[in-house]
Amino acid sequence: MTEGPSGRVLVVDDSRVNRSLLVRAVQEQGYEVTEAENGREALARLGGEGGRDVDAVLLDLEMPELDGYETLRRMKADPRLRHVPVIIISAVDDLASVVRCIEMGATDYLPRPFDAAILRARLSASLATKHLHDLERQYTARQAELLETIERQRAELAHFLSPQVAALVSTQEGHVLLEGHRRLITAVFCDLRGFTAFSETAEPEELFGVLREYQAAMGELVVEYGGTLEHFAGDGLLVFFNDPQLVPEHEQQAVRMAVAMRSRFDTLQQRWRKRGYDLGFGVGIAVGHATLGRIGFEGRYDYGAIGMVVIMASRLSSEAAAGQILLSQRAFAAVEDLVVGESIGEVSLKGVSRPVPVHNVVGLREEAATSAR
Amino acid sequence: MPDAVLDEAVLDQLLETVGGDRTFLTELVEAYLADSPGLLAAMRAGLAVDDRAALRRAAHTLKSTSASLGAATFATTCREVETNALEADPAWLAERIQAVVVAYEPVAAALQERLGGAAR
Repeated sequence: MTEGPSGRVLVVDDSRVNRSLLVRAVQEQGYEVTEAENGREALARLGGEGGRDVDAVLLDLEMPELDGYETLRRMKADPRLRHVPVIIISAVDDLASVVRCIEMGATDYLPRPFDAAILRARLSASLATKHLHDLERQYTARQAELLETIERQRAELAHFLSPQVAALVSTQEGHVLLEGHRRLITAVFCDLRGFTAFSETAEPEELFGVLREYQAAMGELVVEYGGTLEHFAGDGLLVFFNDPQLVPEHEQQAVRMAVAMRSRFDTLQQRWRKRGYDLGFGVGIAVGHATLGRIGFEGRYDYGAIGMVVIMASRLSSEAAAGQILLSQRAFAAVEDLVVGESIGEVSLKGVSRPVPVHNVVGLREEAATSAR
Repeated sequence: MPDAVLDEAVLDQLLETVGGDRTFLTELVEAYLADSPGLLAAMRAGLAVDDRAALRRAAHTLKSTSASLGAATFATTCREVETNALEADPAWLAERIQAVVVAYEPVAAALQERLGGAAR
């Protein structure tokens, strides 16, 4: 008992002379020992109360009732016992049996007659394996718990943030992105025509009812098309594409979403018109580089985009008449093949030094082709 | 003495294995001396009623306990019976079992002398 190892060993041997010798020798190494006279007894011990405490099994092969081979086979077939190391006790001249047992999943073998050093080596190696396995299981369980917590938080956050942004919070890569980075994005800004007048005359209940319907409908489409919703501000909303998640053909995806929004809005508007509300929907879309990341202050951060592209989208949206989807030159160039467009000419936008060419999206070519048939 | 009944090296190992506890070894030898005649009888009976598996198991147990206690040469004699128990000719087996019975006496005597109850 030099370094005082710990663990419980089950000794299985039908001969009482051999069994008591092994029990004594294992105790001498500092382990606790339980014993069984044959395989059936051993399995009962392992499966019963306290069976989980067994850290290693020393198993004789030739036994009445249930021999070592069958005991080993049953242990390895049982998910609860599979990980318990089994050391086969074998005569030195019977290596064929040892090989067979190792193939069946035995950890090691103890040649008989054995000496203290070999017994010690075999036991400590097997118990170390078992200990490692136990640690790994604990670790996996804790890991799963942790992941579950993170996932719960992420799901909870996703009620408040864009799902893409919520996902950022829980990854290493996401942290880098939150710190701030440059990326080419497509920015989509939408707001309602006639909303200011409406809000001045409408009852608060009406006003909120309309906003809720509008935001619910639009929010659903943002998710469907994979956009990142930066914010809702009353009737205005800013969505960008290609960040934090990369979106192939983000310009086209943005335009498809805008067209879907316009058509959804028409459905809403038909209902609203019956109630006497006169609202219109305008969209501005621009493409360009922006700085994206965490914006705000301790306690209230948002994931935001800063750059000319965002301003352009917002100005184009202000410029849009009801039902128009206005594209910057660069955005139009990227989606020319996708849309049926019309030029609006050069437009002076607030904060932009020179007039810029602007296009309106009349519809998608694929839709035009379908309705023409 | 190349043909010593007991292998001194194994006996030294054995003593070390049990932490130098001679009393325990005495008990172990007593258990061996109590069980072995039954195993010899089981071998003979197994042959008599042609239960070769029982014969083989008895020979196996006697082989391994004897080896544990350092009776290496005797263990080899037992092993010969064990490995041939299922297929060998009965007359040959009878002769080999008799050889085991004969070889057992000096082993028992040596163990008794070396580690037996008299030492207490």
